[in-house]
Amino acid sequence: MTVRGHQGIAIPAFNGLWKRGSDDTCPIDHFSASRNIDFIGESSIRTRPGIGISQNVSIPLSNVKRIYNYPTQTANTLIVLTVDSSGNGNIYHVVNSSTVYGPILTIAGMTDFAFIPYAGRGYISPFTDYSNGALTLQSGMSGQNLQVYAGDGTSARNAAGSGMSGTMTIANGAAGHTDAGFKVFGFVSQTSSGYNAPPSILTSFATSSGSSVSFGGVPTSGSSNVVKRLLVATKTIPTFNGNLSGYQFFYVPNAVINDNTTTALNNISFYDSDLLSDASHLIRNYTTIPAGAVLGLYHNRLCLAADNTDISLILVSQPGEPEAIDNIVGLITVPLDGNPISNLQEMRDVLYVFKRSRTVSFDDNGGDPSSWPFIPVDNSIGTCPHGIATVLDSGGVNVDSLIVATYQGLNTFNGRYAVPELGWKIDNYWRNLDRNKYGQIQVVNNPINKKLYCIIPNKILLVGDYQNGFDSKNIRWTPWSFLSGVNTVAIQNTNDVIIGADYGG
Amino acid sequence: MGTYQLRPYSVGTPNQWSLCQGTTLGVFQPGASDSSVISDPYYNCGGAPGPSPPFDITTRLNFDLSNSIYLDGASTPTAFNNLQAGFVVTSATLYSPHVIRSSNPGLERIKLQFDANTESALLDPTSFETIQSFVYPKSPLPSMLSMLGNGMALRGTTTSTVSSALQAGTVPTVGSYISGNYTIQSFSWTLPITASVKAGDKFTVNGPSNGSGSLSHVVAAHIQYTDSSNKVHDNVVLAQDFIFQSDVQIIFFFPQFGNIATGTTVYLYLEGDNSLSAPSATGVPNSAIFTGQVLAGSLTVTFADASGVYILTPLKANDTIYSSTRDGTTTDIAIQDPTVEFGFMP
Repeated sequence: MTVRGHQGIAIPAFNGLWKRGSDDTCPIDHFSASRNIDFIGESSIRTRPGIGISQNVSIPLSNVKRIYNYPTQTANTLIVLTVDSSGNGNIYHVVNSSTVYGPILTIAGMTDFAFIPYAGRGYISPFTDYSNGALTLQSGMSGQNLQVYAGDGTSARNAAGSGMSGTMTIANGAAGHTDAGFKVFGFVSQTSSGYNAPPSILTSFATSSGSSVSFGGVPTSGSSNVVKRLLVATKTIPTFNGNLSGYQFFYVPNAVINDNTTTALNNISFYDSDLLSDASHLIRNYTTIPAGAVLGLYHNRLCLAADNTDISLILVSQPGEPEAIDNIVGLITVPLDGNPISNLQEMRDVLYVFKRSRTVSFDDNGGDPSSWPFIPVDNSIGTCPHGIATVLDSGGVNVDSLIVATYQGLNTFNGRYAVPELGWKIDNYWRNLDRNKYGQIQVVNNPINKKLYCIIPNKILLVGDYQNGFDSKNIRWTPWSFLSGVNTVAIQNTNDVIIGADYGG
Repeated sequence: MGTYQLRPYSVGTPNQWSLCQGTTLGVFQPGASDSSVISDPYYNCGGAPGPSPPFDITTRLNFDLSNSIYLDGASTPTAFNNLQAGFVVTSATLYSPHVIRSSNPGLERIKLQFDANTESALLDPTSFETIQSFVYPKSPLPSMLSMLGNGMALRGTTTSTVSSALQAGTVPTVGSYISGNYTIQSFSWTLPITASVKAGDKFTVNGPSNGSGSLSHVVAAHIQYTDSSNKVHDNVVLAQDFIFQSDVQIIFFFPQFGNIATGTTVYLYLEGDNSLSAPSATGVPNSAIFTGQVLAGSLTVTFADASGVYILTPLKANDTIYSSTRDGTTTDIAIQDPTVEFGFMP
C-alpha cells in the first residue's frame, strides 16, 4: 500500500529487543524498546502471561529474597529465603501451595544462601555481600556453618559434627576369636544424615585369641542427631608408642550399636584380616564446615567454596559423603586474585570453577582433590553466584553447554565462551547493569518452552525466547516487569515458572 | 561550586569506649572538627584492659540531617532540607586523625568505611598518629542523603595472638569527618504528583518546555530514604526501564521501595550521564555538566506489600497479587503496559 507516494514497509517478523549501539541502528524487525510482551511462534507477539499466587495460605511468605528447587523423594518442592523486619534471614520449605515448613533456619543478617539437594536432604550455606574497595562481592557468612536440612520440617542443623567424649571399658567376651595382641578401639558416631564423626573414646586393650571382645559403658552422644555408633579398631600393634590416635583405624564388621542409648556392645569377634574399611580419614574431617558462597556437586562429591576467610578455597567432600571433608587432602586452591570463587559446575566430567572474571577447571584424576590438575580456561570471563543457568529444576548443563551470566553478557560455555555472546543484541542493556549488584542475577533455562529467564539487578525479569534458534542472532529478548520488583526465579514441575518478589530496598 | 564537611553527630553501638573494658572515657562531642582533636589527640583506655581478642568491632559514626553539614567553611551547620535545589556531591574523602598509638599493639588493624560495603584497605601501620584518609572509590558518587544516612565508621580488628591484658589502644572517632566538593545543578524539574505515591504508579518528572531540563540525559532515577536506623535505602530505576524519556519529560513505573510506613517522605534523585546538558530550544547553550545524583524533590509514599512467591500462568490476562493486608486474599491488577517501540523507519 502506498500513502502519499511512500511505499509501505512490511515487517516480516518481530525479533525482540535491540539495545546495541544507538536507537538508529535498531533493525526494522527489532524493537528499540519493549516491555511485557511474549513471542508466539516465529513472528507474532502478545502480552506476557500474567502471574498468579503460588501459595494458597492465610499468611503467604513476604519479602522473598531467594528461591531454590528442592526435589525430594516424592515431590519437587521449594526452599525460600525471606528477610523479616528485624533483618533476620528466614528459610522456609514450601512443600506445596498449602503447606509450608519453617522457618527451618533463621540467621541474623542472612541475605542469600547457596543450596544443594542431596539424597533427599538439603545442604544450606548462608552467605552475604562484602566489600573489597569499590567492589561488592559475596562470601560465606562469618561464624556460620554449612547446614543440613532433613526435609521433614525439622530445623536445619550444622552439617558434620564432633566425635563423642567420655570413656568406656573393654574386656574379653564370650568364646570367640581375635588376633591376640594390643589394639586400640574407638567408636564412630553416625548422624541421621549419614555423617561419620571422627573416631573417639579411643581405648587400648590386648585381645586374646580365644575370646571375643565386649565393650561396656559406651558413652552416648549428646547430639540427638546421632543414630548409630560404629566400632573401629586398629590391627594388632606390635609396639605401642603411646599415641592412641596415631594409628590406622578400620571399621569392625558387624559391630554397630544401632541407637544412641545402648551403652554396651558385647562379644565381637574379628581377625585383623577382616579390617578392610578404613576409618582413619575421619580424623582429618572438618567437624564443622564453614559457610561458603558456593555449593555444587562434582563426581558425587559436595564442593563448597568462598568461605569467609578463604575466598579462593574449595572444600571437596568424599564421594557420596557430602559432610565428610578432609581438611588436608580435600582442599583445592584456585589461584589468588583478590576475588572470591563465585560458582562451580560439572560439565563433561570436568569441574569448572568461576570467579567474577576468571574461569578455571579441575579434573578428577582418581586421587585426592588436592592432587587434581588445574587448567586455566579463561582469564577474563567469569560469573556470579547465581549466574549459571539451572536447567528446569536440576543442574546447569543442557545439551553439553552452560549458559553463563558474565560481565560480557549472557554467554554459552562449552569449554570456551562462545562469541558473539548470546546477549549480543542487548549489549547496551546488559552493560548498564550495576556490576556491584551482579550477585542478584539469577538465570534459569526452560528448554521445553525454549525460554531463558534472567533476574537482573533492576528487579526485572529478562526473557530470552529461542524458538527461532539458540544463538546470538535468533534469540529474542524482552524485559518483563511486575508491580513488585522480582528478585528470584525457579522452574518447578518441569514447566512452572516460579518468581519471588521482595519489598524493594 | 563549593566545599562541604560532614561532621559526625552521634556514635553507634559499640562506640569507641566499648573497646576498653569497664571504662568510659569522655563524652562524644557532636560536630567536633579536626581542630578540636589536634589539641587532644586521642583517647585511650586509661590503663584498662582492651577487649578479649580476637575481635572485630566497627565503630559507626552517624550524621544528622540537621546538624552535620558544614558548607564552605562555615562554623554553623546547614540542614539537609535547606540545601539548595540541585545540590550534587562531586567528591568525598574520609579523614580520621590519630588512628592508634603505634606503641600499643592491642588494636592492630584499622580500616575506614563510608557505608558498610565501602571500606578502605588496611591502613598503613607505619603512619599511625597521622591523619588517615580514604577517597570514596566508587562511581557515581552517592547523593548527599546517602552520605548522611550511611555515616562513616572505623573498623578495628585484632588477632588471637594479642594478649587481652594489653590496652586496646585508641580509636579517635572524635575529629573524624568527611569532606569534599559540591556543585549546584538546577534544571527546574517539576513533579506533578508528590503525595501518596505507591509502587506501580506511573510517575512523571517534567522539565521546562524548551528542553533545557536535560531529562534525556537522565540515566537513572533513585528513590531514597533513611530508616530509623539511619540506613539509606536506594531503589534505582534505570533509564532503559523508563516508560518514556525525552528532553522535557520522563515517566517510569514507581518501584517497590521498602517496607516503610505510609506517609513516609522519600527523595527522588536523578542521575546524569556526565555529559553536557541540552541547550534550550531557544538556542541558549547550556554548559552545565549533568553529573552525579541531583535532588529532584521529595514525595510521600503509600506502602502496599505485593511481595511473595508467584507463578507465571500461561494465557492469564492479568496479574494476581497477594493483598497487602497479607490475609490470604488477592488483588487483580493489569499487566504493566505491554509495549513495543520500533527503531528508525527509513
